[in-house]
Amino acid sequence: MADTSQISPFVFGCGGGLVLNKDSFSYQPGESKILQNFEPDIQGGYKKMLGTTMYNSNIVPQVSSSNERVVMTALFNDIVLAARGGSIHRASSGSGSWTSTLTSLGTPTKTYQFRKFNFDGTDKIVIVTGTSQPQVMNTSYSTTAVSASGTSTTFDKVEIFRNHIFFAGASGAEQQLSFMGPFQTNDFTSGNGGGTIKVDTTIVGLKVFRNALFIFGLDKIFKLTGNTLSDFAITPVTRRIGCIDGGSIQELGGDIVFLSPDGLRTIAGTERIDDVELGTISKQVQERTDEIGTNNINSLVIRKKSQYRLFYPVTTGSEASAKAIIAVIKVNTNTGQLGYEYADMTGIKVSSCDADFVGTTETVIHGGYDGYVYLQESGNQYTRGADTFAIEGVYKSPDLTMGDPGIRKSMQRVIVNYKNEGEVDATLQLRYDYDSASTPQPGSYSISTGNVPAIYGIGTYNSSVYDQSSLPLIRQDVQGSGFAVAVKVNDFSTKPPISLKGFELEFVPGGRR
Amino acid sequence: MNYLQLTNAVLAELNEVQLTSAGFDSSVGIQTTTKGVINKALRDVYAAELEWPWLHSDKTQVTYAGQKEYSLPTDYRSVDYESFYLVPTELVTNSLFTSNISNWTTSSGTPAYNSGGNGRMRLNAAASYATLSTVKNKKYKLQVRVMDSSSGGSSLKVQVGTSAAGTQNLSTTLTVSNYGDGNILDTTFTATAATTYLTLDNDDSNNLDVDFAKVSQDIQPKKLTYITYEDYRRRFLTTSNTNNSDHYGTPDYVYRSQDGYFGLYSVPDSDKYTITYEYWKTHSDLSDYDDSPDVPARFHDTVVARAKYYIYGLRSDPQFAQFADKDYNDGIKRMRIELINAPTEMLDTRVNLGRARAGAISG
Repeated sequence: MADTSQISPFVFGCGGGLVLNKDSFSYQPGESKILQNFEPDIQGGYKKMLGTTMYNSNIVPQVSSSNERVVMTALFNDIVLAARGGSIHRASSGSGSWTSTLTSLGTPTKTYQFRKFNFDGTDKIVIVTGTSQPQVMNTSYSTTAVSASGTSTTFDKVEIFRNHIFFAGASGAEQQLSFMGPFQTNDFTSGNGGGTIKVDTTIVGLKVFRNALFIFGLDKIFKLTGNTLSDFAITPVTRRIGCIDGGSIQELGGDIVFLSPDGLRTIAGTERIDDVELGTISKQVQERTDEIGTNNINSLVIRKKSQYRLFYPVTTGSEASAKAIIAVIKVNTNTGQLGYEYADMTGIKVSSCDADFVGTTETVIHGGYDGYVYLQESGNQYTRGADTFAIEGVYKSPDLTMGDPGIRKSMQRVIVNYKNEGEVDATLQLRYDYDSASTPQPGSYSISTGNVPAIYGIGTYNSSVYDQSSLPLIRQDVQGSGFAVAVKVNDFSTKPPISLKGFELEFVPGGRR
Repeated sequence: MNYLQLTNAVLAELNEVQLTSAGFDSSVGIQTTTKGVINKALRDVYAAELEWPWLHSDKTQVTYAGQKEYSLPTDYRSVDYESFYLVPTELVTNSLFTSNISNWTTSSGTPAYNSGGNGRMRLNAAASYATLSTVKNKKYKLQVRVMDSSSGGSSLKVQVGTSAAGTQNLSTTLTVSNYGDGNILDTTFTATAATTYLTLDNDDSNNLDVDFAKVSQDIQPKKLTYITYEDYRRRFLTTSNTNNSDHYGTPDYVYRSQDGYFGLYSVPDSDKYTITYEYWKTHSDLSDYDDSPDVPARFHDTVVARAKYYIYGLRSDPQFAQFADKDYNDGIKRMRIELINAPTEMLDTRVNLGRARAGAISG
C-alpha cells in the first residue's frame, strides 16, 4: 500500500469573489484573483455566466445611420420598447418586425430614461430623452407629450415619487427639480400641486427608496421627503460626495447602490458615515471602478440572483473588450458574513438595459451598439448580430501558501468540487510561485463531466444519473511544485455553465529550497 | 534514453512538470536544475571507474624520423601502456574499400564499388590503380584478396611499377580457384622510385571483386615495452638527446612523459612506422535534447538514481536522497561486475636471482 502519510490536504470553498486590493499574503483562500464571466452564486461558489440571445431577430430600424445605438430598451406591457436614432419602436420576443411607435424625438445625445407608473388603473411609462418633450405612453401605445407651459421640454431624468412625476436635467437648469401635481401627467402648476425645487449641485440621477426621493448630484446627495408640495422637504445626505453617473443607480438588497468617485457606495452607508471611506462597498475592486469611463454607464439588477450589473463600455471599443462589473450580495461560504462579492464581465457591449418581470419570469434585456436588442441570461454563448461567441470564463484562486510560504509544496492531486448542468468542457491549471517565469508551469488538465443528477420532471434522458450527487468530486492528478500554488479554471466552451464550489489540494510538504 | 528522456525520468520521480523537445532549451527552475544534475550524475558515473568500456578508444600515431615524443589525444583520461604496438604504416589509402573506391584511379573500364562482405572494388573489364609513397630500394609487402563472384575463372593482374599499369617492380596474376572463398596474394616488391603505382586489372568481362589491397614496408609488427619515465631517463635520455642519428632505429620502448605525451625509444628512424594503442577518453556533457550518453541504456537507471540523489538533496529530502544514493551505488557495483574486464592474472616482474621463473599467479 502506498505511503500517503506525507500528503497534506488543503481545502477551501469558493467564496469572496474578485479581490484586487490585497497583497498576496492577505488573500483568503476562497477569494479570486481573476473572476471573469464567472458570477458569485448565491447558492455558493462561482458559476459561469449565462449567455445572450436575440430578443428579436430583427434589428431596430435606424433613422439616419447604421451606427445609431439603441438608446433605450424598456420592458413595458410584456413587450420591448426600443429607441434608436430618435424614434421608438416596439416588438415582441421572436422574429416579428418592429412597429414604429414614436418618431422625431431628436438625434439622441444620451441614453433615454424612463419610469413605469400607474396612477389611474392603466400602466403607463414616461420617457425622457434630453432632446425633446417627455412622453407618456399607455398600454395602447398612444403617447402624450408633456408639454405643459412653464417648464423645460428637454428633461433627461425622471422619477415617480408619492404619485408625483419628477423631472430633472433640463438644459440650463441642471440643478432644478420639476414635478407635477399628484397623479398629474401634464401639469406643473403649483395650484395643482406641481412646482420646482433647486439644489446646489448638478443633478445626475433620481431614485426613490422607501419614503424618500434621493437626488444624486455630481458632488452632493439630497433626500426629498414629504407627501405633497405642502410638506416636501429637502435634507442633505452628504454634501461631500456625489454620483458619477445616474445610470449606475439601482436598488439592491434593501439599499441603493450608486457609482461615486471612490467606487460603488450604498445610500445607507453613505448617509450613516458621510463620505468616510468605509461608505464604499467596492474597495476590493477599486482597480476596476477607477478605470470606468463615463462614455455610457448603464446598470440593472437581477433580483433572483441579488445581482447588480454595471456596464461601462467604451464607445469606440469592440464588443469583445466591453466590460462590466458584477456585484452580488450574498453570504460568503467561508466567513458566514453577508456582503458584496464581485466579478468581471466581458463580451457584452450594452448601450441601454432593463430588467423586469414578464409574467412571472424575470427578463433581462439590453440594447446593443449594433442596433439589436438582446436577452441576457439566455443560452450558453454570447450573440452578437448574426454570430455567436463563446463566453470566456476564467477563475483564478489566490496564490495559496497553505500556512507557510517558505515550504515547497509538491502537488499530487486536486479534487474539484463543482456543480454542472450538463456536459463540461473546462480546463484546470495550477500556477506556481505567483506565475513565476522561472518556475515550470504545468499544462492544463481537462475537467471531466460529472454526472448530472436525475430529478423527476427535469432529468434528461441519456444524461442524468439516478441518485447521483449534485456536487460531483473530480480527482485530478497534477504535477509541479512551488512555494505558492494558485488554481485556475478556464471555460471557453459553449457548454452549460459550471459552478465551482471548492477545491482540495493534496501536496507533499518539501524543504525550504 | 537521450538527454530529454533522462531529465524527464528525474522530473517524473519528483512529479514535476516534464519537458518537451520543443521547450527543452527554454527550461526554467527545477527543469534547468535537473538538466544540470543529469550531467553531474553522468560525470559521477564516468568518474566511478577509469576504464569503462564505452569510453574505450583506439589511436594510431604515425612516427616521424627523429621525433621521440608524441602528444596523447586531447580527450584521453587513461592510456593502456601495455597496448602499444609498432606496425608498418599502410601505404594504400582506402585499402579496404569499406564504403567506396575513392583514392583509386580508373585506368580502364568502369571500376565500381560493391557492398559485398565489408566492402569491395568490382572490376569487370576494368583496371584501377593506387599511388603509393615509397622509398627507393626499400622492400614492401603486398597483400591482395580477390573474389571471383562470377565464377568465371578470370585472373586479376597485379602490377607494381613507376607508372600506372607499370610492371617495373612486380607483375603477377591472381586467380580464384575456390569460387566463393576468394584467393589471397602475399608477395613483396622493392621500390625503385619515390612514387609507386599499384595497378589491379581484370581484362575479362567477369566480375572480380577485390576485397583489399594492402602495401606496407617490410617491417615486423612488435609490441612496445612500457618503461617508466624514471627508467627512461636513467637508461635512455642521454642517448636520445644526442644530436646524432646513429642511435635512431626501430622503437622498442614506450614511456609516459610528464606533460601529456608518450615517448619512444629508440627514436624512430623512419616516417613509415605506425604506433597503435588503446586509451579511455573523457566524455562530453550532454547539451541538445537528443544527445545520448555513452553509458549503455540498460544502466541509465543508475544515472537517474544519481541525479535523484542530488535533486532530493536540493529539495531537503535526506531520506529519499539516501534511497537514491543506495540505488546509485548498487548500480555502479553491477556495472563494475558486468563491464570491467578485470585481469585474471598478475605478473611478477621482480628480478629472478638464478631460480626458475615463478610465472603467472592465477587470479
